[in-house]
Amino acid sequence: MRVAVLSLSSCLGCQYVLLSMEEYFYTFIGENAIPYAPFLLDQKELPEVDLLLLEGTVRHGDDFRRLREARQKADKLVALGTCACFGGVPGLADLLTEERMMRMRYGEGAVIEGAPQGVKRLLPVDAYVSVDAFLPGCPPPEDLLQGFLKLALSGTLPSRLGATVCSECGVTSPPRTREGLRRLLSSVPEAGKCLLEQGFICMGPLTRDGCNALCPSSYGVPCGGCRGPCDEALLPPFQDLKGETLRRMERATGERKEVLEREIKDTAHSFFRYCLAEPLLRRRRPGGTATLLRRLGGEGRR
Amino acid sequence: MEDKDLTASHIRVDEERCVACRECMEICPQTRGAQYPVYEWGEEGMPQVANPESCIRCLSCELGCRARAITVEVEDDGSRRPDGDPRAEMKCRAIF
Repeated sequence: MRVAVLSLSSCLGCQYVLLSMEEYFYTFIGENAIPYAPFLLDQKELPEVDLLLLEGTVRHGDDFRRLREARQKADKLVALGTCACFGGVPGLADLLTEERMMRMRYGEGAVIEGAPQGVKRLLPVDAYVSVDAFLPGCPPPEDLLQGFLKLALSGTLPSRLGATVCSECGVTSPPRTREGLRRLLSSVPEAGKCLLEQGFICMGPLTRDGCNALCPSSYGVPCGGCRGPCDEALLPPFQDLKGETLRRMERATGERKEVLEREIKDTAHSFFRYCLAEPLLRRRRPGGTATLLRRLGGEGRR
Repeated sequence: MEDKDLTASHIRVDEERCVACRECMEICPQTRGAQYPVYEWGEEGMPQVANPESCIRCLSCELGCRARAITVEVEDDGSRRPDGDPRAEMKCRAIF
């Protein structure tokens, strides 16, 4: 099979997972033709391929042209990584204006000459072209990518009935201490116990499984939601990551929702770190996207 | 009291997935303060289906379960949930 890897605006992390598959990577490049993969080969033009692994997201006009070209040349298009599936971390850029971002990164008055025009709103790639399969993760775990590739290269694009990170989590629920909202910077969580019940913001109940819940069960770090929202979070009656998490936090901490909302300093990073660009999670909010972004602390970019 | 055959219940709790948060017992309108509660405390804090006949099939427990450990079988499968956005439905079908 002819397999290509294309990256739009991204950190290239998802491509490196291909390299970290160790032995399977050699089988992968041995059994398949790889005519285009900029991080491996010096090849400028994308040829026609059977399977295209696409990472990153559409950040400017140039990305859009490459995406459209890729869709025409690829028989099957796979969105690899959370950026391609849900917008990922680049989606948070919607909270700031273009000028503010340039100022923050490069200083006052900085201009990049000949830079392509940025998009007004960031969207996942399936909002622009049809996508045949999605493999979210920031980056996707190696064993998951390996399993996906094995099935995809045998001819059928796989899908998986997903659950949530909690379903894989090895913790047990402690009796609630109700100490209020807690942060990793100021307090140490008790190992092996549910972080949400201890008062930390954990996105496990609304995040897609597949990562073996490494962060909460092995490292004692609350889930940030890097695998993107689970099926239930994308479909009615939920579609409200913030509300659902606050409801659970309310129950765990014994504080009222309004108090918690005031205490949480950065709502966008806490609840929408990897999926702020997903239109399904924006549309149902009263007032639509612009109002949601303003409420999350955005600058009211039009 | 005769023993109930719990395997015949239409509510299934996957104990491997369950994190014993006991949210189902708090959400279920037929458990808290009910004479014949649907759920009861089991071993290690896991919920156990005690009176499945009390269940009104509101699906609160299934939807509220953070670990997707509860499955409630209902006869009319078509009206279980409102339809989502076609794009979301497609995405959920194609995601790995």
